[in-house]
Amino acid sequence: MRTLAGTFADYRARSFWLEQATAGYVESPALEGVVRADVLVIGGGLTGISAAYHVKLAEPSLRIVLLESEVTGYGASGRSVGFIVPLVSPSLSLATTRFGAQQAREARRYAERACAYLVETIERRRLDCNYEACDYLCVARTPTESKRAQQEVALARRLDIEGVEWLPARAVRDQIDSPTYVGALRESQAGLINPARLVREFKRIAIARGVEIYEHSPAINLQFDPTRSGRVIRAQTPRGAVESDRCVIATNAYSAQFAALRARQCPLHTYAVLTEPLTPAQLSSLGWQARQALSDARLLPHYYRLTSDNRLLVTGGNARYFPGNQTAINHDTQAFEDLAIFIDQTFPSLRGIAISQRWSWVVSATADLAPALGMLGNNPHIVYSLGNLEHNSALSHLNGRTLSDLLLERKTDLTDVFFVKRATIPLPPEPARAPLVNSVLSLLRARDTLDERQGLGNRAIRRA
Amino acid sequence: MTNQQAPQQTPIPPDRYDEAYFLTACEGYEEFIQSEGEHLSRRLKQAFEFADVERGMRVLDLGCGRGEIVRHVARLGAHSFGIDYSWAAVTLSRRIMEREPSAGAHGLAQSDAKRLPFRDNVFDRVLLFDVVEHLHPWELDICLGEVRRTLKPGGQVVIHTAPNRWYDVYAYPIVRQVRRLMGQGDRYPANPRALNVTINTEVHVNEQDILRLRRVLSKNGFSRVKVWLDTPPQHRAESTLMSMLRHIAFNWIPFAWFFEREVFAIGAKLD
Repeated sequence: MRTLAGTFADYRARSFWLEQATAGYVESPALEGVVRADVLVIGGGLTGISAAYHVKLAEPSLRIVLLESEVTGYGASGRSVGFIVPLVSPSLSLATTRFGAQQAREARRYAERACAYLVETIERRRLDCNYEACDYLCVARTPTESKRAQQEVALARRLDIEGVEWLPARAVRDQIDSPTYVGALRESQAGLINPARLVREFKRIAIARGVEIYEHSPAINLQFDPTRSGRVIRAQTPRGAVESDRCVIATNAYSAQFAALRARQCPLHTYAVLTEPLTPAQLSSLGWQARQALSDARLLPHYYRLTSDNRLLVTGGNARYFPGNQTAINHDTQAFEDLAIFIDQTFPSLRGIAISQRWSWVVSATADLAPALGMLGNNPHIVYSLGNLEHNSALSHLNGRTLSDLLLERKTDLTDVFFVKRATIPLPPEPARAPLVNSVLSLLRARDTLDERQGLGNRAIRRA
Repeated sequence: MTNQQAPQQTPIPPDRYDEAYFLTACEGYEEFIQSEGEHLSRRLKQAFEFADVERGMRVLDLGCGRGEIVRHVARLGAHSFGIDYSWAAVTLSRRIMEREPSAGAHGLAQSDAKRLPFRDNVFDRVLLFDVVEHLHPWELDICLGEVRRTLKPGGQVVIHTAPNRWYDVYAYPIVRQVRRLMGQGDRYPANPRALNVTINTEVHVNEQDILRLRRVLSKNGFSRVKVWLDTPPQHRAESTLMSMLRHIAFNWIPFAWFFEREVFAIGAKLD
C-alpha cells in the first residue's frame, strides 16, 4: 500500500482543472485517532461526495465520515474532460447487445435523469463550476465511423429515445469547420463543466450539511467483522481509524485495492493535452460558436472541448492498462504525441499550436464496459460503485444518490435500474489480466487504425 | 448465361430494364414508390453523403434510373446531369424532373456508359450508383476510362454496388445452412442472387468485393481510392446470442468483409 509521504506533494499539477481549483482551497485535515461513524464513505470523488451528501440529506441524524486518500477530486473527478452527457455505456448498441433493448432504454432514461439532476443542482445550489449548456456531437470521420454513428441514431429511434439525431456532413461543417468530419450524431441534452470546481463545490455543500471529510487519509486496511457487535466495519488510515456500521466504497478506478472488488473492474489510463488559449482569429477559423462537447465514433474515442478561457482540451483516443492494476500517474509520451497529431489533423488551422499542459488519469472498466453498483456479498451495509468509464460527471453525481438509496435500503426507481446489483463478468487475476486487457485494447486500436488508414474525411477531393 | 466466361460477354440489352424493373426490382424502389420519389433510400443517401456535392458543381449520375439522384443533385444547387441507356429510365427521370418546380440547370439523355456524350474534364463528380454490377468487366473498364476522361482534375467518382461478392460466395452458404437448421430454409434459395429479386440473377453480371473494386479503380487510373462496406439496418427481434453473432458478423474484421452486403468506393482523378 502507498505510504503517505510523497503522494500528495504536487497534486495541483495533476490537471489544469485541479490547478485552477487550487486558489483559495482549504484542504481538510488528515484523520487522527479513532472516529466512530454511522456511515463511512471511501473516496472523495464526485460519486463519494454525492453519496455522503445524499445520505446526510435523507438521514440528517447520521454521522457521516468521508476518507479521501489525496485531495477531493484527485482522480478522474478532477481530471476528466468535464462533460455532462446522457450516456451510460459507450454506445447504445453495445448496451442493447449485452443487456437487451429494455435495459438499454432504462439506462438511457437514467442518464438523461442524471444530466437533468446535475444541472438542476448546479443552478439551485449556485455551484460555481463554469457550467454551460451545449450540444454533444459524436462526429464521424470515416465510413466505418459514419456507419457506427448512424446505427446509434437508428437504434435510438427504435428505442423511442428522443434528442438524438444525425447531422449530415454539411450541417456539421457549418457548425465546426474540420475537414475530417463527414457527419455526426447530435445529442441536444448536454453541457460542459470544470470538473474539479464542481467536486470542490460539492465538498463545500456536503460539509455545510454536516458531512465530515478527511483528506490525505487513505483507507489502508478495510476490515469487516460481522460477528462483532456494534461497529462492524473498521478502516485503518496512516494516523487513525474509522469504525462504522455502514460503508460506501466509491473508489471507481482505485477499487482494485479491495480484494473483493478486484475481479469486477480494471483501471485504464487515459490521457489529455491542453493547448494555450486560442486567439480570436484561431477560434473563428474553427467556427465552433456553440462550443459543443465533441467526441468521435472511434472504438477508443477522443473527447474534446473548449475551456472557459478558450483553450482546446483533447482527451482519450488511447487507453492503456498496466500490470497489477496500477493507478499511479503514467505519462505516456506516445499517447500525448498522438493527441497533438490529432489536433493537427482535426483542425489544420491550429497546426503547431503550443501544448500548455498534459496529464493522465485512470478510469474504471468492467468486462462489458457498463457501470456496476451494488452491495458487497449481498450485505446491504457495504455498497460500491465502479465501472464508470464515460467521461461523464452527471453519471457520477447521480450514482452517488443511487448508492445512498441502496445503503439506506430504500427501493427507489434509481435502485431499479439494471446496472444496480448486477452480476459482472469477472476479469481474470494477474498474470492473465494484463495480456488479456492489453490484447483487447490492441484490437480496438488496430481497428481504429485500419479505418483511418484510408484517410479521414472525404480526403480524396482535397489535394493536400 | 451469367457465369459464361467468354472473352467478350454480350452486354445486357437496354430494353431488359423496363419501367417495371425500375419500379419493382431496382434498389430503392420501396422508398421511391412510397414517397413518390421524394426521399432517397438509405443506401443511396449514404453514398451521397460521401459524394460531397456542393452548389455550382457539375455532377453526372451515370445510370440515373428513376432520376431521384438527378433531382437531389439539382436541389443542392449543382448542375445535374443524368444518363441511362434504358429509355424507360430516361422517361421516368424526365417525369420526375418535370414535377420539380425549382429544377435548375439539368440534362437527361439516353446514352451508353461506354461512350459518354461529354467533352473531357467537365464533371466535378460522377456517380455510379448500382451500376457497376450490371457491366461486364470489359465494359466496366471502358466505362471507368470514360468517367476519368470526363472528370475534371481533382474530380471524383463515387460508387455504390450491391451485393458484396464475398457475401454471396463465402458467407451466404453459411447463413443459408444456419437458417435451414433454424427451419427457415425455404426463404433462402441456393442462388443468393435470387434472394429477394429474381431478375437479379440475369442482370448482375459483375458483382464486386473490396479488393476487386479497389483494383479496378486503381487500374483505370484513379487515386486515393477509398473502399468500404455497409449493411442495411437489420431490426429483427431475436435471441441475445443471434444478435451478438450478428453484431460480430457485421462489425468485426475480418467477418465484416464477408458478411456486409454493400460496397462503396470513392476514387479521385488527380491530374
